[in-house]
Amino acid sequence: MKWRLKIAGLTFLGVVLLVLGRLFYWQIIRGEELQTSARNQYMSGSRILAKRGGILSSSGDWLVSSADSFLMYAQMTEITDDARTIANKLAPLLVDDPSDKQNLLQKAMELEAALLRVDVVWLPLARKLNSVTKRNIEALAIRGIGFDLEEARVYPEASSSAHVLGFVGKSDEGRDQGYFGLEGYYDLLLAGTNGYLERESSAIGMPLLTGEERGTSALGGVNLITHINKSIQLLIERRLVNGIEKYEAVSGNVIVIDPETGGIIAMAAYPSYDPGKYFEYGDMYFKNPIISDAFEPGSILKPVIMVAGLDSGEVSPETKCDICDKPLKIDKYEIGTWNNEYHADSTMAEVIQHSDNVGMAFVGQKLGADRMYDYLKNFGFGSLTDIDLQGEASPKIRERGKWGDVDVATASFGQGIAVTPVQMVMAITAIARDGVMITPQVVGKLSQGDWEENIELKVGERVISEKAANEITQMMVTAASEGEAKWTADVKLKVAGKTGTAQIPVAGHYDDEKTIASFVGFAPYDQPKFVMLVTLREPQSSPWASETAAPLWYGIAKEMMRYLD
Amino acid sequence: MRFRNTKLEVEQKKSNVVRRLTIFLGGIAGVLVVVTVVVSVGYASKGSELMIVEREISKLTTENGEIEEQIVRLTSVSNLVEGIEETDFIDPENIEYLSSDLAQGQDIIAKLP
Repeated sequence: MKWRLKIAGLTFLGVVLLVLGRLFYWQIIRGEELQTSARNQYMSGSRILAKRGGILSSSGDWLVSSADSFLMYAQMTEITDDARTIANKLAPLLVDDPSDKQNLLQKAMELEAALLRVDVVWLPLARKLNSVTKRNIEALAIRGIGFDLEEARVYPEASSSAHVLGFVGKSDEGRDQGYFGLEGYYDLLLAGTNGYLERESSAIGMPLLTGEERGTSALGGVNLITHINKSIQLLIERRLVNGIEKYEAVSGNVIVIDPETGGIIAMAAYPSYDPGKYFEYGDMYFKNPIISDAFEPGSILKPVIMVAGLDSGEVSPETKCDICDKPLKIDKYEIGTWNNEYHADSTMAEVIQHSDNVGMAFVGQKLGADRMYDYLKNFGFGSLTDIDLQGEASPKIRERGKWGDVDVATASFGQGIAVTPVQMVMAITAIARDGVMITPQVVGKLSQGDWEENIELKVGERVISEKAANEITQMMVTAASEGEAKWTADVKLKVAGKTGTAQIPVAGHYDDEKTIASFVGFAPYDQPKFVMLVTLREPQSSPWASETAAPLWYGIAKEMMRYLD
Repeated sequence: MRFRNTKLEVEQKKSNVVRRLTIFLGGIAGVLVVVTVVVSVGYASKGSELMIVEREISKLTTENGEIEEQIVRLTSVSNLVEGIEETDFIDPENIEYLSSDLAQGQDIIAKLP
């Protein structure tokens, strides 16, 4: 009897130990893994997309907005139809023009090739589909084809303002990221912060109210309200393209600034690209030449050097140039005028009016190398302007103390020194502002819902006296109305301006035929409403700015005044 | 005899108390079970309602986005200009400005009374 009890006891003990062992295995050894697996079964999580902020013009019109778009994918394990059938069904809905048979066939072949892959279980088939296309595809009820919500940028003006706006591409991690222009510079503010929601759900995805729930709501991106005037922006783009065609130039750009605020009213460069289809263009199109391309400014730099001479007291408007009767020899170099005409005893006002290189070399010599360098630095050359656009670059100017006599002379009329268009226009803006620098800004306000915040103006230092600024303004008024571009001038616009025809340095010397034609100026000169720089690269109809950039400048200015009054 | 009867009465009373207690506790348990079932069903239906509301919100948000996108596209000045040009309205080739003195309404310009 006793041994039976013992066997029964041992059996029970064995069973208990077995159960305990098994419990130990499930609870302790595989506990964490099973816990995760169970949590995945009843916890459902979703990412809440933060809407990227929009970019608006000064009047509140959209330049860029965000909209829902969809990524179409194939869940390969659930596909039942054959690849060709699916491809033939989808292709007509994914091409711009289904009547273009060649394009349609190519799309169908691409899809079929993708769907025949055996090494993947999930395959993205098309991105940035709009909701109409998505609905049409869903109506086909193809098993294994699904959609993920994404965000797309909407550009109501298509390629307009491309260089100002930049575009939204993908980062290394596959998330949306702004590149170039405002999209790049304000990426963090525009992007906002995605939210998430994680909670317990039933097998059919129904939320269990008694279960655990955690998450944060999405914080949408901030809207940027720019200084851009949409009408003027479209105007300068249209005029620029017409001008490039008319004067047979390789490229060109226009920048318009409000001298009171430093706000960029309009900015356009051509060739350009469509930010909505940025992937169809090469990298060379993305760079904004106005903020990143260096060029020798030529005669449009003369007002800056002249005002430095006036401010320093080395010259006055009445000072006579006693070396202007013939070409100037410095070392082995000879400096002549653009038209080989020499005006003995020209006053400084006449030097600007005639765009006299020898007269400018005279001013340069009076200033001296170090003072010229200091003035150029104070006017912002050789430094970033800190414009709120991604991709700004600044060419270096020769170091202080390393300027030879020839360097001083050539820099006086804008050769041997490189600047960017935005640096150039900001220097002239300082003259229009009676001698006080200001930082250029594209964005004037940030907004989100009812919240709005103005971006403060960044007024810089006074770089020249008000008197000197007024004197050079008068010289620029005479240059505009009596200089070589007088034929195109419109006195009623009250323009203070200067033409510039710069030779292009190629492999250590200046090209004989290629020029960069520019016109910079502001109007009305007594109460400036805008400062504008027009630059045309290698115009073929005429190399001279007075016959290319100047008429384009006046054409834009005349039409633009309608929007500024 | 009297003692025996008393013992039986006590046992009967005990038995009654136990029965009543059992019925009472059973009743409470029953009520709790019913409440639990009702509350669970209630929560489940609320969860279902929440899911319906969330789907409705999502649908409305999508529609709202689509309408906003349409509005953005319709504000296109470029498209407007194209439309205007198609109806033969064109920008003036050349704009003439009066001088600022004239524009400020000097006597040279006739004024309406």
